[in-house]
Amino acid sequence: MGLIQFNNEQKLIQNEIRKFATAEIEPVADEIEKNGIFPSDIIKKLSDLGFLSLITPEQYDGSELDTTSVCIVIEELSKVCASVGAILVVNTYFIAFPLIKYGRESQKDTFLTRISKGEIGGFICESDIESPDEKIKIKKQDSSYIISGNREFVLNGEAANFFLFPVTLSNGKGIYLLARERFGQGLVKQNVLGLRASGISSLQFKDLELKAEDLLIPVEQGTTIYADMRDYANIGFSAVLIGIAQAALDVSVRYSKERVQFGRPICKFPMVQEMLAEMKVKIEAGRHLVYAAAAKCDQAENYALASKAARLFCNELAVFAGDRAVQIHGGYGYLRDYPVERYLRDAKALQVLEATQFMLKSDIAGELLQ
Amino acid sequence: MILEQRHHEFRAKVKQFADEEVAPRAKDLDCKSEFPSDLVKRMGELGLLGVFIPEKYGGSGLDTLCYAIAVEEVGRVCGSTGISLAAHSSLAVAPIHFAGNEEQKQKWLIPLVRGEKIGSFGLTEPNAGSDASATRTTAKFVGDQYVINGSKCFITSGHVADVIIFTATKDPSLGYPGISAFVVEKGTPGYALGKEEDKLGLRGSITSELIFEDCKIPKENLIGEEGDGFKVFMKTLDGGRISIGALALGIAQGALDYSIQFARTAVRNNKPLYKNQSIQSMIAEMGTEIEAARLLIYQAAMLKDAGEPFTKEAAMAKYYASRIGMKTTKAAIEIHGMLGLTKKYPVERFMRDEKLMEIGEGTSEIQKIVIAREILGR
Repeated sequence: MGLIQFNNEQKLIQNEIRKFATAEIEPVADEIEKNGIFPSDIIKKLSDLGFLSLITPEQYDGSELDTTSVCIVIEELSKVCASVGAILVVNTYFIAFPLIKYGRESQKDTFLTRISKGEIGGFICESDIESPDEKIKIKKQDSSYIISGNREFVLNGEAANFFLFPVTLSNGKGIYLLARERFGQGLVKQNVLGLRASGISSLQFKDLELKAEDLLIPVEQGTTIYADMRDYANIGFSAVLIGIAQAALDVSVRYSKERVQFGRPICKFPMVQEMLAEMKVKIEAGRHLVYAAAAKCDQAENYALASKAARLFCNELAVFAGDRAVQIHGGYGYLRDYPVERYLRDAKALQVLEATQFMLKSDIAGELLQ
Repeated sequence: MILEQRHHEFRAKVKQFADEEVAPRAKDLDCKSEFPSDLVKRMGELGLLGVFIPEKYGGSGLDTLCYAIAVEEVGRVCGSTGISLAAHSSLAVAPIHFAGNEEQKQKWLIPLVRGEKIGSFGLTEPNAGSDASATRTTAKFVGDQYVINGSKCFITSGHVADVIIFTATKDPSLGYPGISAFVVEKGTPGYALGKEEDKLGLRGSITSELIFEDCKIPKENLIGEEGDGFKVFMKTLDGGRISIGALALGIAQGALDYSIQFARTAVRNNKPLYKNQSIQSMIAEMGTEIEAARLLIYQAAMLKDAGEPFTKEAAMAKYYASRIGMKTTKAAIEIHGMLGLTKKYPVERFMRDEKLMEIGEGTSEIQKIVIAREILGR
């Protein structure tokens, strides 16, 4: 549509990933989601095609794609399985991105190459909200910190081999890079509403030593860089949300033409048509916000506001689309035999993942008032 | 809303049962997809299965408003137990009471009200959802009995029901006038249970397919006269809407209660979350809309008790309560943030449970058609 113009390379990527998603993911999407199975086989195949190390420079065997291309890949994957899309967003923007931009040469060499070989990284979320559910005790010991406590959300936690771990210290936010072994048996899969195949886990740790050499991002820069990672991730998550919403619309259009009530297909009823129209218009608006934000990244313009705006809008849109898709399917939409209830759950899970609506609004206002 | 003392007292009684006996079970019922047979029995003992049924049939002899309060209070802690209560009372107990003859009441109503038997209502079919006139299940009168063939789907409590009131037509081409209502009892030859559905929410309640294959039922099982089916189910659904509205309200209230509790204990930027104006704004909207829904539901219940027409008000109550219920349960997850996605808090369960309220016993779209027809005239 109109303003979104993909170049030939981007069109080729879209074609290729669409074929992959249909052939390799679609047949198993319901199954892995229902049983909460992390899609290791799919990740392996994506890696073989160069779709795991999306933004990694070629010198570390990556595909070095621009942000627009990344969004294309994420959107197409998320149309068939949002969990796969979310795994890639985390791996790309919470792991590879800070490594590429801020890692020491030795860290890049090791970890970016490992990603290119098919390994994934995990991100240990630090919630903006302190609740009694998460408690961390930090003790300084020479140049190290000894920490004990728990974190409720580790993205990609089930399958990741190494983790980025932001920790708020007395003098700022340090972001550590730690191998899985450091956590022992502390990682446990979470039973969550949506994105059930993405391996979201909780983490317990006791007397874990954070050494100076584990630090990827020093405390002086931690807060700023974390915000930058989130801005990029917001664009990626928005692409996941567009994928979910588009899938919800596609299946609703199909079903409304097949389902007959009161002697005609339900697509003939204005109330159903209204829902389809509203979904379509919102999806197009959301897609423009996503690709506008991606274009700003690619043209090295300031993307801080555009990325948050895209996320805010797409969060709302995908939950709306998932909900309307269930409504159009009526009783059948409520059954797990149909994919639409999954769209609603996945969209709602993404809506609060790493950022919630009221926080995004407050951050957007912050950008405006600067 | 100013209620009578007896309504407050009744609410306190149900609230105690809900908080002490249902709430501790709710998470497990959902996670393990377990039907709470024992809680249904307890509700029978407490008189909750026949709130509006006269004492001579074992009921509590109270009014529809009390019934709505009962469903609301149980739904506040557990949607699955709430829907099981609502389906049993509104869809099985109620039609046998208002349309059954004395013999049928003695035979079925009394054990249903006591909780000795579980009741269910079979209206929906694969091709007759919103459009019940498309009923294909047939009832042929042969000798002195009816022979039933066909199937029903989305039947709440189907697999555990002992007494099932259902609709069938003597000729599918006749539309509504061909439809009659019957009772089939569990164990009747030719009556079989189909698939048990795996659902988004209300996972502690049962949703079933029912199958009839040359199922012979005695003519005494006809409810009302032949051709009364449409009348019976329309009246049943009118009353059912009040209870689904009340359940939507209860779930929304539960989501608000947990959100308030969370906002009091959680901290953001060194300030308790409840002091954040955006959170206050969400809570204010939730509280206001819940109160408005409550007024609509109680109004519909009071009209029914007064013997006034209440079709429009019941449809409005269900439509509005389920709509704001979805908004409220979604906002509750937002307030809890990512923690709202886990089983540590019930808010994601509330959202999954609440979604059915916009679908079951007439979708929101059907409610709007009913409301518009009542407002605009036919």
